[in-house]
Amino acid sequence: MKVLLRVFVFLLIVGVILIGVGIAGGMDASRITSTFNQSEAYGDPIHYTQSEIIDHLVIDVAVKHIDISFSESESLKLTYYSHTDDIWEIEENLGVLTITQTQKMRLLIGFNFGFVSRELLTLKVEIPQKWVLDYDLKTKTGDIKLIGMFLDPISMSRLLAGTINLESDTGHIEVTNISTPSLELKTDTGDIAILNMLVIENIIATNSTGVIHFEDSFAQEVDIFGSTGRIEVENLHVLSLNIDSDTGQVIIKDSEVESQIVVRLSTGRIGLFNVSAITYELKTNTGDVEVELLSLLDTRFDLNTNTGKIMIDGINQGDRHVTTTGSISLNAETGTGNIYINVRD
Amino acid sequence: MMQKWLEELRIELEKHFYPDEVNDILEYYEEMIEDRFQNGELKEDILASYNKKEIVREMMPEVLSKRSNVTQRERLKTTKQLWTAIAQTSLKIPLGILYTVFIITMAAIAFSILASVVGLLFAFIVYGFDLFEASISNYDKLGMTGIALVLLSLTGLIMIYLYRLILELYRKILNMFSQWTKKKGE
Repeated sequence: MKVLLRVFVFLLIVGVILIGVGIAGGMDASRITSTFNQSEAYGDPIHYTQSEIIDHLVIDVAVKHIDISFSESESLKLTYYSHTDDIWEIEENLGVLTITQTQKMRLLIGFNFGFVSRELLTLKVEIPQKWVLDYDLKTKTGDIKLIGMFLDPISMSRLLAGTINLESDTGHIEVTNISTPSLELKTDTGDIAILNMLVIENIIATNSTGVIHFEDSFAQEVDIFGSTGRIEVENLHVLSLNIDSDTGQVIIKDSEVESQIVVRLSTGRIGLFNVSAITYELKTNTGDVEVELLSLLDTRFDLNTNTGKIMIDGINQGDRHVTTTGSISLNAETGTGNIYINVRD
Repeated sequence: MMQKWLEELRIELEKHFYPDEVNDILEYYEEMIEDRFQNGELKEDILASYNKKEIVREMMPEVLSKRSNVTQRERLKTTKQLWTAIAQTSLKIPLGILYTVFIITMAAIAFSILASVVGLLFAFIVYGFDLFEASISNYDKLGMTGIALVLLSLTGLIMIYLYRLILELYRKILNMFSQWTKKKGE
């Protein structure tokens, strides 16, 4: 180890000397910055225009962010930068526009330390507002943004879209201000944000590590599958809500669930604040359960904790509490943790 | 007779322990035998009551809990012998699983560091090829090689210190397992 340490110290000194000699000999200083910058490998932006109306957009890219926005123009516009190793294919067939980007496999050539600006790594798609498209968007390393708009500020009607399926392996996904029949979002190690969405049928959101955030949205059924991240829901109006996660906390605020809300966690806290439902099924193996209701009247409780306590409106009920009357059913269970049922002031 | 017995015990102990550990154990048994002899027991009976292999097994947790594990050789020996020691404890299954997970984790970390260093050298060679083929001035090539060497050596140094940190952590956790084994074996 000592030998290796000396070798690296020696190489460090040699490296510094070589840089000094290079600079003294008239080395182009911009070479230093270009060592850390791959921008030169990208050319000018490439534009593609699709004037004929399509009804389905399929994007499958390897190392790109996907940025979808809407405009009043009559044609779809793509803007992207192509790396020398990129292979792009754009094809329109029977109303389906397919865009793919793959990368050449290179082993020994072209290595560098490169960093690239986000702009160069983004595929921008500008879609006419009037086109109602199905979206199948996938990127291996990058974020996906699908940013709609309110078409009419008075009626609050959102931009219309067909079904939406978005998938990113290691990036964030954000969808905003869109009305769609169904929405499916999946990412492994990124966050998911769903804001101001109107979904006629189902929303399915899946991630492994990251935050899932819902806000100001409407849907029939919402299924959220997490693994080790946080799940935040605020002002959501749905028929049913199902949350299943391993480790993390679930916080739901100011929401309306017409039938049932089911939250299952292995380790983490469950918090419901001003959330109405007919049936609550809340279960965590390790963590507290906290529910804030408008009133305790008409609520039937089945509460159970193995090693904690149950507090209803500040009164200790021991580790088991069951009541038999009331049309609203609230079942909560925790292995190690407390259950708090509070009434909102 | 007792000297012969102690010599045989020494031979058995030397198969498993370091010389200073062997001497400590021999001193302990010599003292214990003397005590029992003083209390009226016959030396033949005392020596017959001991099994040398059993002594090795019984002393293993005690010796491991005292071993400093400073050298790589000591760490490897302790790692191997802890399996035997854990198998004799009352918590052999949970402790064994925990110990296995620990060993696998440490091996994975060590492998990752090694892979990083190899990858680093590989990257440097590839970069060298690229640079050699590049149509730039010789001073540019010198300067760029210097940058690559600085990056290579700095990353290499970080890896070495990380490796040392991991070794220290490994030593501390080995000592912790040795203490647990001793406690649960009593």
